[in-house]
Amino acid sequence: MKLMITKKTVSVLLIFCVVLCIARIFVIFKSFSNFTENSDNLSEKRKYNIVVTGSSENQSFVRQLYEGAENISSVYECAIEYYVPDSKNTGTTLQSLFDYASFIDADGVIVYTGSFTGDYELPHHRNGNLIPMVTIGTYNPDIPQISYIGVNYSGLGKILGNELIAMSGIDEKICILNTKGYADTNYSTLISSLFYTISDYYEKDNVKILTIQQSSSLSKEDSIRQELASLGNVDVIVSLSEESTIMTVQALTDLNRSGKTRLLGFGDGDESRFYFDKGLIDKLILINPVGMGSRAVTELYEYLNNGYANNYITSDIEILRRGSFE
Amino acid sequence: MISLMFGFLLAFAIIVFMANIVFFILQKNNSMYQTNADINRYMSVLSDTEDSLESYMRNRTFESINKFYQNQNEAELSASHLCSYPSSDEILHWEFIIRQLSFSFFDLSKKAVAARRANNALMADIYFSKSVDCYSLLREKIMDLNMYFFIQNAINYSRNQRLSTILIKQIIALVFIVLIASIILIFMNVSHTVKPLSDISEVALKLAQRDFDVELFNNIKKNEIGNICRAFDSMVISIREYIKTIWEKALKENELREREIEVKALYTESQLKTLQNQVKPHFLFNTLNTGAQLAMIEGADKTCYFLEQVADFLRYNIQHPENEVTIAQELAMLDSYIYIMKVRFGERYSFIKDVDESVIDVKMPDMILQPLVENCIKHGLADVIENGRIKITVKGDKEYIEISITDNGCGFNPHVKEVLFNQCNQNSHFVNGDNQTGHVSMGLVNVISRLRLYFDDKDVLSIMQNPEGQGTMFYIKIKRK
Repeated sequence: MKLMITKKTVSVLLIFCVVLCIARIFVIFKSFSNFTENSDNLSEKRKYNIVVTGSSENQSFVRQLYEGAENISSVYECAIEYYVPDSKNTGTTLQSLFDYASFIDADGVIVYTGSFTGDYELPHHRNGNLIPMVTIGTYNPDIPQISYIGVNYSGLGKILGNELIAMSGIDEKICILNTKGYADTNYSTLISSLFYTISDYYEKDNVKILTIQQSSSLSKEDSIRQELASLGNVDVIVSLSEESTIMTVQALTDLNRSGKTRLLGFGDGDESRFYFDKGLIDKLILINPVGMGSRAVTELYEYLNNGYANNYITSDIEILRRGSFE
Repeated sequence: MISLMFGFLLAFAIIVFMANIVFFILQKNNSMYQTNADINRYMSVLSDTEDSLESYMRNRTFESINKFYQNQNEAELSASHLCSYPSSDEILHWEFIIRQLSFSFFDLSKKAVAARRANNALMADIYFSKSVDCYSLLREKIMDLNMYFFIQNAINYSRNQRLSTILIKQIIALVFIVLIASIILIFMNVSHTVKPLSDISEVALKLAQRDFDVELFNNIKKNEIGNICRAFDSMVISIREYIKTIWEKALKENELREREIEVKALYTESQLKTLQNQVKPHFLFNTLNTGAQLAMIEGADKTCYFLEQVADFLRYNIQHPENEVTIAQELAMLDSYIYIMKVRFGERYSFIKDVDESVIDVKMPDMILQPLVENCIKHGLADVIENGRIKITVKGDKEYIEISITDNGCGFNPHVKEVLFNQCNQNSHFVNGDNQTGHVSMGLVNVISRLRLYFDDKDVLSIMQNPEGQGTMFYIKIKRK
């Protein structure tokens, strides 16, 4: 059978080939643009290099400080670096954090730390000038920080006490969880202030401070669960850190006491918020580390450009309440 | 129709572009781990610097300090290429930190060496310790960056390999499609070029075979093929018009010739009729019959016979409308004429007949032999008083019939013969009777013309000298049908 190729068939074939070619070229260009995509980096030159640092125990808090600083870094032409040495590195000290800031010749330092004791070589430029520093956490009048941003733990203790009184009855059993021991000055101040606020309201025997010491055999969560289980019926638990608040929620759920035991906790993280929204936390005290980080950058920028900053800034506290209490 | 050259150029451009893409992909992939190589090289230089510092701090040799400065210069040169400003980009900022740490390390190292050279052990130790700490941090940062690049490069390499594979497959498919499209384009262009040539070739063949009924190309394209087609169309149109002209001319000529022949025939017919009508037949017959009867009554047998012969002669002249008789009939009529002549001229003339009986049934026009005999009597033997002889011979074979009429008279004047035949050739019937003066008789012209027309042979009758001596011979040669 003789194949008859008409002019129309050939034209149709040619048009089909042209359409295929165009489609292929389009696909090639698309693939090619994907190929070169990774090389496109939109970067911006910044004026200042600021390091946010702290010890590994406060890693989560420091991370939030960093987030706050990073949020406004573009506004203040700053590049923010997060430096928290690995927790496995046992040689990490405050001095090593300062040294890092010196080595990188930072334009500013935001450090979250406890109290300063002893002599430290403060962070300095290569020419010997001190690097401006904003401290967060513990206020040390002896060190030349340009600004301190912190929580008034004494005032916080009062607020906690008042909130506790508002959510419980006079005869109810109260348990205050202390997971940081008494070495931390801030916590000591907090607990003292809290106790002072509630001491006249409750019976002495109805208020118990439960200090959770992490043992080598049990994790902190298990320790909390065990202590709460052995505690018996408690009406209100006060948790003084975000970590312990989350662990307490989980322990109460495991012990099937959610809803029966009220919880006044700490925390600004997503998990704390989640539990609060679920109704597993009755009141939530929020310290805003993100806000503190942003404020710190603002103060540093002001200092670097204008030569002055606010020496003492108290961070705001927010209280989330759920329902009313009889 | 897409220009073949344009198509090829486009295909070539696409292939070159695709080749460039492939080359770019290969080059990009090859340079994928260049960042790691650069970092490793820098790390190596830093390591050499630190080693030489340690060596000097420990041993305080000239060689070690030389080496330290050498390595440090090299390291500083490498570090100067790193990003020199803080950046929102993570990688660039990382580079900046490494640069800062590097220069801090160089600064502390130089201070340690200077303190060592100044024999200030305390400061030397302090600076050396700091430089070691700085170096540790620097090394850590570089390794972190190296690992980051390695992971990124591995991810990018894997992705690019995948994309490369897709791209190369697409390119191969595209090249394949372009190849097919090129083949189709070539095919179309060649067909477009060859088909008109093929059509032209077909038309040329038909024209060569004298078939001028071909379809015109009517190609309006302004290229070589279009020009050839238009030239061919012009040629075909010209040929057709020329043929038409020739045909019309030939038709006209034929028409004229036919009319001429018709006219000639009519004229001849009219001449014959005129001849036949010169004597009123009925009156003549009646008169002759009456005369014959009278002669019979009076007992004049010879007169009666003579009148009967005259009547026969005249009847013969009148009663042959088809103008076609047999040789036998013609000879019979001739006998009658001879009798009349004998009566008229007595013994002056003798008539001899030599006839082949086998051919006397052949057809011929009437009134042929008598005018020839008459011509012999009137002109050939005009001056002959006695012993005039006229011989009539009829013989034939399978091919020809020969009739000859000879006399022994004065012969035929050549000039007259020339004039006679000229007039016959011109179909001229203008006659005046005297052959001595060069004019010929109508009878001879008529006889010769009718013989020629009947037998379609120009040489059917010839006039020559009597082969038996003096005199004239009329020689008729008829080809048998």
